[in-house]
Amino acid sequence: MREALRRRRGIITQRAILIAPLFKPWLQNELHHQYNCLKGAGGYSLTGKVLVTVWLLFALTFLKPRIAGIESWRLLQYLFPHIDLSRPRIGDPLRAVVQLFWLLFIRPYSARRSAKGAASAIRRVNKRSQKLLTLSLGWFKPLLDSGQQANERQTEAVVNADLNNKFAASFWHNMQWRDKLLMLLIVLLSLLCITVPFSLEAQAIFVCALYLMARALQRMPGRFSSMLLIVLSLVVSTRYIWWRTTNTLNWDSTTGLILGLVLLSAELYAWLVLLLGYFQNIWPLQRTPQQLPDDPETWPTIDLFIPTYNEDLDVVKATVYASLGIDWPQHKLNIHILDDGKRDSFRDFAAEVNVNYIRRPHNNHAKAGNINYALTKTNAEYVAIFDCDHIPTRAFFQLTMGWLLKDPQLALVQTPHHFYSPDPFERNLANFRKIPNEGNLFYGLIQDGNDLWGGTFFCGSCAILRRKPLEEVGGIAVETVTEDAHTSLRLHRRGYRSAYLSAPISAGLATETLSAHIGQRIRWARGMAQILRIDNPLTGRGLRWQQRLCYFNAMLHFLSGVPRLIFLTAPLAFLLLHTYIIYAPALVLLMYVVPHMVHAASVNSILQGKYRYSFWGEVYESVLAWYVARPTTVALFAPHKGTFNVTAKGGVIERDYFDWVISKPYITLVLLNVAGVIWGIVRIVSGPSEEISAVIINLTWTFYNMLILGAAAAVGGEAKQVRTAPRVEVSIPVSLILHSGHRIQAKVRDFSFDGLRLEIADCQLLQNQTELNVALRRANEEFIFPLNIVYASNGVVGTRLPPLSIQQTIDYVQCTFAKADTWVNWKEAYDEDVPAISMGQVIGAAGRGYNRLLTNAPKPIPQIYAGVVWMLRGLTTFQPRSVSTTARN
Amino acid sequence: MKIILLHSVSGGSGVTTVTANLSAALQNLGHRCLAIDCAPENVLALHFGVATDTIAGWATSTRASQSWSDSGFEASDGSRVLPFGMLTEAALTQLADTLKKQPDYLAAICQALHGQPLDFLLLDLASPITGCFSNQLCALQKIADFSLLIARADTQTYRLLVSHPLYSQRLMDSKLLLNSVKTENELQKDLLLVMRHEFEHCLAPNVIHYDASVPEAFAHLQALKAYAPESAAALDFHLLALWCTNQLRQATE
Repeated sequence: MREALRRRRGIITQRAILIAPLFKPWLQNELHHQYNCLKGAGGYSLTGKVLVTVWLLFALTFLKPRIAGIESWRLLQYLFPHIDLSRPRIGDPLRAVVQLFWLLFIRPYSARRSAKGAASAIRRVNKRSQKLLTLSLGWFKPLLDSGQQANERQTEAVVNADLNNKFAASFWHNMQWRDKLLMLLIVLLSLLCITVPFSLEAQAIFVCALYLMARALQRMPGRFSSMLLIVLSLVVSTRYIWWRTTNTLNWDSTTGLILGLVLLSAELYAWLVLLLGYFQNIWPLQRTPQQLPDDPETWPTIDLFIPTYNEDLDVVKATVYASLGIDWPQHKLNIHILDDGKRDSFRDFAAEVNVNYIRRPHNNHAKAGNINYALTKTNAEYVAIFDCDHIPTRAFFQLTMGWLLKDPQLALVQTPHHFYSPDPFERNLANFRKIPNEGNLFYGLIQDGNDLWGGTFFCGSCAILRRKPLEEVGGIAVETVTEDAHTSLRLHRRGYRSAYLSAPISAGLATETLSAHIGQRIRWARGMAQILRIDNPLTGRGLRWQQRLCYFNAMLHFLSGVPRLIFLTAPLAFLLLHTYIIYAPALVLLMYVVPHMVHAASVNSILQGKYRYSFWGEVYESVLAWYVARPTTVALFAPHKGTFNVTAKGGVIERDYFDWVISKPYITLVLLNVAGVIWGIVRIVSGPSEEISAVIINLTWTFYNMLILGAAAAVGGEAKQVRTAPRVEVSIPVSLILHSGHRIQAKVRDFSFDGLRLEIADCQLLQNQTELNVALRRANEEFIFPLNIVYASNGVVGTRLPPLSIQQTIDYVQCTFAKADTWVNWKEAYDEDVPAISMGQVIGAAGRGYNRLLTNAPKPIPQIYAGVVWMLRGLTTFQPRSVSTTARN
Repeated sequence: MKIILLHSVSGGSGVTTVTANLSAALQNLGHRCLAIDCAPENVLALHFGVATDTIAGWATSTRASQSWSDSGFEASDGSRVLPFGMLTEAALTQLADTLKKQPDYLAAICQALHGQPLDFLLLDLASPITGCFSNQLCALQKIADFSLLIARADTQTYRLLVSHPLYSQRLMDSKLLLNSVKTENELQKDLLLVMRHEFEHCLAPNVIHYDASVPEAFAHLQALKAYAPESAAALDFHLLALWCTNQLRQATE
């Protein structure tokens, strides 16, 4: 009562040190101050009061006012930062002892300083050795330069369209006898390099020499040096494979032999893919757009097909609106909605916006059949195909048609499929626009690489085809479930050419759920396996050997399921079954396998740097491995089985959940690997000592596999997705027009079909209005759209578009999704690959994966896991803390 | 020192506002500016915060046979203005007569300023061609480095520019700047497109949008940049200033 009264009067007694009245007033003040300063976040407990009082009195009586530049009464706070003296906990004495021990005995002799010194010394040596290498290879430079120039001339020749045939035929014929002899010599030498057996020391020297050479070459810019790196990598890898085949099979044990052969065949597959991958990506063509004739009247007519089956009308609407605004003479562009779903709402919409609507009497052969039917109903010279969720930007035909007009033998121009919404991998791993996604490698690099060899293939959407050749091959192929690749294969067989323009000039929705994503990949994998059987690119007429290899590699890529599963389980054969599947001493094995992996990884990092980060390919493959393994195997043996499944897009995931059904195979693999690890540790402890090195190697492999599997499991945890209209993050300057006549600078942070999120300097500027107009620019023109303000705080304004007229909607799509430069800088935003950083990202993802796995597991596991985590957290509080060398305030 | 001439197609185009704001924007870019008011309304000085009852100006000085150099003012941001001054009707007629005899009087003032620490000299010829000092224009145009013709995006302006011989000749040696454009207005938007197409070679790349902040800033006797830094018009003037400096640099090169 009295307390309350005092408080109301504004007199608040400071809770202060109890025995203060014993001292003189100035000392009292000082003690009060110190006492208040030592108060922690939770205030004083009883023990805390006593402790602090005792400490303060002790410091006052026995210590100098300042020790090592710190006021002595603060000393405890400074030396024991993790202990709150005002509210001590039970473990604090132990923490204090640990910290004291560390301060007294370890910190003064801390290894860190010497470690730092060693690290910098290593760095210095490294730098110097690299400099030396570069210098010693200096004489090599003219050679490198001339090689570079020759290469550039070559590509120029290829780019200049009349090229392809000549280039293919010329390789052998144009060579002089001297060159041929040289070639033969090189082949002999490399055979020698690959097959000669070395002693352990010789192999070590050989490997070191190649590695040093690679290090020096890595420092040299340009494509020629990366080609030389490829050669080095090929030598090392082929030597490894040769050694594996000839020296490491255990002919004495049947199981060992069988399992060894299984692993060897998986490795052979990986080696072949590596080889073909190098071939495919050695020189991405990076074609640039070709100028169109000046007079638009001479431009050809185009039929734009938008096939749809079961997608929402809203999804299709966006594509149609974007197509309506495309830069092409209006009377020369016919837009057709090919509706296999036979929905009246689509027909009405088509009539409303004045585009053609085609509905066929049957549904045979799904999308391929749909397009083929439309081909019979239309007659323009060119056919552009857009999946109903792929929004073309307005510059699409301007950029692509030039090549078709220039080269009459060109039957196809393909552009990348760019996705503006995160795919399940990106969403579940939360790395959208941070780590290049699965498709980046294919559309960023592989298709561009194919283009050099004239082997770019059709991807079903975002492409233009010439009608005549397409009709010659009987329209879109219907025999396989990947009708697109098969169609371009047929075009190539007829001698037509294809081109790839790696500009993101259209954008679409990625698949929504992991199961749908995997379903789509299964379809691709099955289709590719089917083509391999029905219409094998390696045989048959019409193709050049380069094209054969490009197609073959694409198909081979989808057969990765089984080999990947073998790699993920191989070390278990040794750890659990006790079979030597690689029958070689551990040290020798390391001497062969490590260089093979290091060279392959570093070359791939250089070639694919911007499109696929190191180790992520394995994660992507591991997720799919189990699922594509069966269908591809089935399709290889019975190519006519199986049906077409449509990829569902534009859905909603109501809440976070863990897709146990999809994740089952990874969990099985994880459990197997855990068993392997446990058994391996048991063997290290109690097994025979001569096996330990082999156990360690296999354990390392298992740990790596578990890392990859953990990241794969992380993908299985589906993250919530509520918004139906995905938002696209951008930064476009615009101005807002208020009804008061004010015009404010703003920035669009993201846009969707529903509205915009804007950034302004101060929300006060909006003067509490609920509506405003936004002026979006397209080229030199401004378009005004009304907006309803949903929220405005901290300089961010969320807005929603009211219902717009058709013309306004077309304009809106044109100013956002279909703006020519909207997607251009996405690719540049990715950093170059740094393997170590990439490894860190994979480890992080794996950590999240296991965390998710354990927290979502059946009943007792999450509780046990939580308990263990709690205990570990508690233990870390005992860890000694570093004490800063400068005094704190 | 670069001389920029600002004149208009028809009355009320906002030449004075543009002069004041352009001067402020140039000053903001680190250039030293002086704006000279050549219109008897004597409004420009207000934009620079000169008190409303100040009667000093170059015209008043001329009338009193004093030196005009004492009648300049400096604004808080360092930009300077030479007002016209307040004259009665009789005095104005007299001045007009005097100036008729000396058609290069204003040009001489500009020339006299050449030694001064100035980067830009902006001449506000608010009244259209047919105004009372039209005879000075010829000499001024000769010494000007750059001349901006300010117009509104309306049908009248468009007609004058397209078909009137007086203006088509003017367009030959000036750049056209559209002021107070309302892109949300369908007619203005269309006219803007048409003008962009037809006057491609002489149209300034950016327009000054209609923005209520401009008159508000004037009413508060503040520079636009200080009053409403986030307004679109502030950005427009900033861009205009950048473009002007760029144009003049190109011209000298």
